[in-house]
Amino acid sequence: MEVERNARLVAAIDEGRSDRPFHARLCDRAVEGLGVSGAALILMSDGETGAVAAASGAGITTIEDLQFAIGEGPCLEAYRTGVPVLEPDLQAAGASRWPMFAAAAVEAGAEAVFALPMAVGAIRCGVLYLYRNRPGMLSAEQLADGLALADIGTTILLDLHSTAVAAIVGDTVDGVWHHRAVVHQATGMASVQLECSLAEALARLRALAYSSERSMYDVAVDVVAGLVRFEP
Amino acid sequence: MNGREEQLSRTFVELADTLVRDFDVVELLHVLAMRCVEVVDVDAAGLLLVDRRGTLRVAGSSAERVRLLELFEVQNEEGPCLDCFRTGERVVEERLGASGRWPRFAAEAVAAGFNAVEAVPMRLRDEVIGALNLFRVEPGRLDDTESSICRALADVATIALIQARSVTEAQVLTEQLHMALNSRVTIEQAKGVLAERAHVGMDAAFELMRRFARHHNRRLADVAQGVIAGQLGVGELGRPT
Repeated sequence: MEVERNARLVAAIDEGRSDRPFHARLCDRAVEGLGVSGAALILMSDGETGAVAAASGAGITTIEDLQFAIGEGPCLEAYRTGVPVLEPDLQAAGASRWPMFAAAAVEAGAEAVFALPMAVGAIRCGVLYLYRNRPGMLSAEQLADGLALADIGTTILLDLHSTAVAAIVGDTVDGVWHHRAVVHQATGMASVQLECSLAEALARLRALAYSSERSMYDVAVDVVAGLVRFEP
Repeated sequence: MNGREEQLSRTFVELADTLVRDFDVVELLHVLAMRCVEVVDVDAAGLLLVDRRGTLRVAGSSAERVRLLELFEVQNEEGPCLDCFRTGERVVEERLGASGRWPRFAAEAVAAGFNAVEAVPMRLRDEVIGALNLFRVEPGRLDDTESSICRALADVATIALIQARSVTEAQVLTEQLHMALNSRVTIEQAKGVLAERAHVGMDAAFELMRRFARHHNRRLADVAQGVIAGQLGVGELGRPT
């Protein structure tokens, strides 16, 4: 179940190197747990450029840099479509998917690449990017963990200004709200009320949930019912 | 042909159409859910897909009422879809509430007006990728013919999700699933935006977007993006009829 998986991953990240920030430890966790050679949390906002927020493993930044320099690749595709881009064999299939990127990436040592979007609907934060130095698809379990890490990454990135990682983490673990329609509807409503982006609206929803010690779901129900309105 | 046969023929032609031309999986799943209500004796239907983390997520519904959507969502805790997903078998309950099965789910379903429920598995080889969830106001169950029809509709949905690609099924399924599910989230966000701007309910907001999408031959998710970006408002989408 999603809650247990998230809890297990967050606990493992917490136990990582204390000299590294949470999102860097998240990348470490990806490398250790998913059998990949490198992982990077890439911030993207316009679908053209990316900034590496954290990375783990050898050579990851080179390979990730390539995509933005060339203008094609799994990260760009994943960001634009909001869909996980999984390529287990760059040598075999890469040329038809990303002619320029594939050749350069293989030469840099990437045989398999996986770009997991960090997104909540239309809120696109970036991509959790993984690569392997040998071909091979992620197993079902590794993929599930990877997607969960991308979700955790999304939560972190949406709350970059938040003080307590514990609070963020708590929400990720206790408030499994991603599949509740009412939360996304409330996000939309709040963004109009606040005249802000969906990402900011979601952060405001979360802030209200914390401060009133209620779940995101309960707050969202009130917003959709018109009982709670946000003022800019 | 009688009424139902015509409906079914139309449904299968429509579904086949989506496989040939530019494919909008979100629209397809919505059509499927709606057709169930039209061709068999049920009052509400939903298509639930299991995401890569094992969560049952609504991918299509015959109506966009929040209460109905929640009846699908809560089945991650208990309910016919959860049982169906775990066993891979059809699950039927002719008398919700009276039977004592799934106490919390049953209470919510009955409060919403439904007294019977079925869940038909969506299967791909050995994997159960989701379920077709059917609700009835009247107690009872579908007859054999209707059951077969629902199974066929569920199978078509599964096939449509896979498409014919020269990559492994696991990859395609993950990508299609994610696209459908993330598109749903975008659509829910857009419903909220439109509902607030146009002062309409969530159901009406969805219908406005859907009507626009069909009229202009665009994907629902694209229209939702347009609403969120502020490019499509009441002026473009019109008013509820």
